[in-house]
Amino acid sequence: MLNYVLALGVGIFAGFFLPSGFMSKPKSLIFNVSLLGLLFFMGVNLGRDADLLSKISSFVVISILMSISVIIFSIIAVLILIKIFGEKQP
Amino acid sequence: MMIFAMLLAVFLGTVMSFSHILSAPLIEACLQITDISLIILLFLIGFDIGNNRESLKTLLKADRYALIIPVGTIIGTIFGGYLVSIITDLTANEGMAIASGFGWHSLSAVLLTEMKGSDIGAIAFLSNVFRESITILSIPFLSKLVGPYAAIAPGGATTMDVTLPIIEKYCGKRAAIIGFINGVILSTLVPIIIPLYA
Repeated sequence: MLNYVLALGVGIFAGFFLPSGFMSKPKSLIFNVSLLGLLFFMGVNLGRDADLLSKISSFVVISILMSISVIIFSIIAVLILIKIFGEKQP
Repeated sequence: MMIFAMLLAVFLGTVMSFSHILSAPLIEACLQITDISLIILLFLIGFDIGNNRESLKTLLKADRYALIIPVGTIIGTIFGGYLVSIITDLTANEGMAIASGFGWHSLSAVLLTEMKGSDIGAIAFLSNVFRESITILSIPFLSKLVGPYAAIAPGGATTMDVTLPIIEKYCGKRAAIIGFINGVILSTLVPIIIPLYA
């Protein structure tokens, strides 16, 4: 996993010292192609599982629970922090 | 438009592999290049962060809400992911890792597929797509119910792009600036936090 953090760090370093908007079009193309390729292979990996069909409904249920839970608790945490550190009303 | 392309890519990969249209040796060969693609992707994400000086300037001029919102979003999101792990088959580590995508479905899915397998990657993709969709639909109502700043929290990393116009329309200009900063901070943290769950 160190490779990933290192790749990110080298990218930040390179981006900081090169002119703003440097190679933005080819960069965007490489980014989109890599991303779509990786998602395609995520699908390929998923499809290799013979039990996939029986798992799909459980994936959807867990994903819905996860999205609702993180939304509710992120709002609650922000409300608590605003109450403690937010601007006082005059 | 990109979201449809991403959903189509996952769907096509799954169908072609499940129905054995792709041969096993071809699949093995292709899977070996995913690690290199991921490193290229992370380099480009880093490059964008470092190269976007306007975001860095906005970040430095930020007010206190620009710190409160991302901190609250991170704490609440990871706690929400942990709670889901208690009531499902996920481990606490997996639940918090999935939640730490902060709505960035593509990156969290590819990172977690590489780290924890395709099942967790698929859940990360779906749950973060749902988070983004629910955010888009609920901001108009949340801005009235919990106020303009707390309504930024559900958007997570998407508040710097996809959900920013909705935040500006329903929560106001100041909330839009804070939302943008929130998105920049969380987007920067996604590729740093997720590998910590390895």
